[in-house]
Amino acid sequence: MRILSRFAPVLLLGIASCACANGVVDKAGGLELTGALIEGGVECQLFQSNEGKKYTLLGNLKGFKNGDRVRIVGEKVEASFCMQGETLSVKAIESVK
Amino acid sequence: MDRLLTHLSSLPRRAIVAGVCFLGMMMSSFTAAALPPPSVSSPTLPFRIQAEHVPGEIIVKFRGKPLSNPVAARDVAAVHAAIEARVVATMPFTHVQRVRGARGQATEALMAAYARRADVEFVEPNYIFHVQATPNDPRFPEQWSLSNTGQTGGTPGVDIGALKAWDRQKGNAGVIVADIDTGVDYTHPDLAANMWVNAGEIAGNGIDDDGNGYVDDVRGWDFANNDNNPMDDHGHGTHTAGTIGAVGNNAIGVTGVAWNVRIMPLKFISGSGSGTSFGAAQAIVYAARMGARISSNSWGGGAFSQTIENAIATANQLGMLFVVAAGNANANNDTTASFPCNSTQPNVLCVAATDSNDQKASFSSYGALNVDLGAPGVSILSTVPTASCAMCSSSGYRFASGTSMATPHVSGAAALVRSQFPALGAVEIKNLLMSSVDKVPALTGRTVTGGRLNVARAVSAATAITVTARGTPVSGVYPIMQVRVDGQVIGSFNVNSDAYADYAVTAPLTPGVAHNVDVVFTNDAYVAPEDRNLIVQSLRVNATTLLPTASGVTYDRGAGSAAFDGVDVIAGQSGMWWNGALRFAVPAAAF
Repeated sequence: MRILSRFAPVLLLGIASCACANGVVDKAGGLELTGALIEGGVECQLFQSNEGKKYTLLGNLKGFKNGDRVRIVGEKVEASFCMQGETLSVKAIESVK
Repeated sequence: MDRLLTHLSSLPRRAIVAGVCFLGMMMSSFTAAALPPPSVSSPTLPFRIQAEHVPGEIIVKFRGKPLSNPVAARDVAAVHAAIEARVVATMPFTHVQRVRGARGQATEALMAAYARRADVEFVEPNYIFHVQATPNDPRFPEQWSLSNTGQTGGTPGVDIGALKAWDRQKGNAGVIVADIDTGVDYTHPDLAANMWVNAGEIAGNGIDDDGNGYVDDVRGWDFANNDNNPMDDHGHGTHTAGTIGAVGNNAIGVTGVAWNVRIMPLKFISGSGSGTSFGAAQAIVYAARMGARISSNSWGGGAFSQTIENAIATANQLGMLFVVAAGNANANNDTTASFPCNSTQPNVLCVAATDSNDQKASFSSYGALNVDLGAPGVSILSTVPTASCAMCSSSGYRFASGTSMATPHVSGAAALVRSQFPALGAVEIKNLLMSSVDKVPALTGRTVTGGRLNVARAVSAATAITVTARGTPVSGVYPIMQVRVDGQVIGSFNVNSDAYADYAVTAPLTPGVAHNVDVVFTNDAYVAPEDRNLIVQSLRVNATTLLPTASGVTYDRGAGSAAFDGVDVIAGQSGMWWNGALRFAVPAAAF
């Protein structure tokens, strides 16, 4: 329940604003995604969502490592040094099974 | 050749040793017409003395002690006169003379003239020796990108030629490189002496002394937090700064590509690693307005931003080179556009990453049209802060990989070029860096140049090619003019003046070899009633000027014509109106 309360604003906005057929909650540039941290990131950690899309991640990943399954809330960034696909600035990260 | 061998066989052992050395030099020095070429060399090009030497000057010794005998000395003088050479100096007691050609003959020609004579004991170029500028920085041996000895399992010699470059140029404090990134740890002991300081601002007085819109911006600016402290709270920007210009030969840590430089820290990427288009644009314009002539941009975003594009255009107008990373997605930027790498501004130089074996880094993006050259970007050791941050390290140094690491190599190289050739503008520096690359197969068809940075060649460039031209625009767009040497693009210019102006590029071309120089009009257009035209008045190669009407110049009308057809060249015409290409067959003597 802790993570749900943290994600509550995102979820509420997501429910109000999109159909979210692929499970991604769109919140004016904010995303909630579930997936895994994977190898292959060059300058930033790589993440693959359950839908198969890859993102590079910025921000505090709270010690999660490659292979960990996580749910993240992040925002797309305009510019960064990742330069490897879409990049999300992570606002919250939590382990999922 | 037979004569030489016969001559050598009659000499005493010591002389033969000298003669064999001399013969070795001859093999690499004389034209194919003077001596049969060794099988390992191209028969179509002149052989050249590889080592640096005083041009047009040789050292010669005649057999015996001729200068102590008035009659023999007169004979020696007669030989010099016959060769049209003059003695510059004679070394006492040794009978060794330093000789120059009276008519400015090439070194090779002088050597050939003396070598033919049986009474000459030896002749050699007057070699120039340098103390090689190997820095005393203790971790320099780990920097394969600057001097690859195979220390990381790579190929010795696969580096940017830094040691050789430093023999000629180590940089100077008058060249400012803006590091647009996460900020820089300006207190780092390996960076502090090379950090830029805004001399127009008084620290801490709360006044915008220099009137640039930023208060107390003594060290630069933090556009992420809108304050005057561009301290690095991530580490990425400090790493790129160290590659650009960690202080060289200070017996601390690593060596920057430029030993002496001024690094302007401009932070627009936050400690978490992201920034905005607006912040990036602010930093770019700040850098150009505050005197940076090079900016290093190890960042990107993928999407096009008009705000950033306009900022780069402003930087171009102010003469700032914009060096930028190609990206880490192993993507073809020609088909998947990546900005700002794919910006069309002429001052943009986009950099891919290579490894210590001259392979494209597996992650590096590429593009035959949009990525200009490669530079080392795998396992690069550089400076980082020692505080607590994402890339911090208690040692103050760490290895990192990425096109972020390749980019500052090129930025540092640009600083050395700017130091060596202060008159060169942003596009000219770009052209010089591009024309001086080492061609590597892994980048062929994957970058514009097909090569990896070679800063030694860039700072040793010798041939200046200047096109005097003017343009007429269509819809405000002026002609784009390319200069190609033997088919390779070495310069591209926006001819944005209705009056004749010089468009210059300096290229490291082999002296004494003829080249075809093409001046190509790449964006011809007609929109009734206007016709865009490029009018070429002359081409100058070093001191040799050729006109469009000169012999050896052919004209191609363009419009699908593949051949140079020679039409429209009118005797006596001072300028050539044209929409295709001009080919100048430039003689060897011009180079």
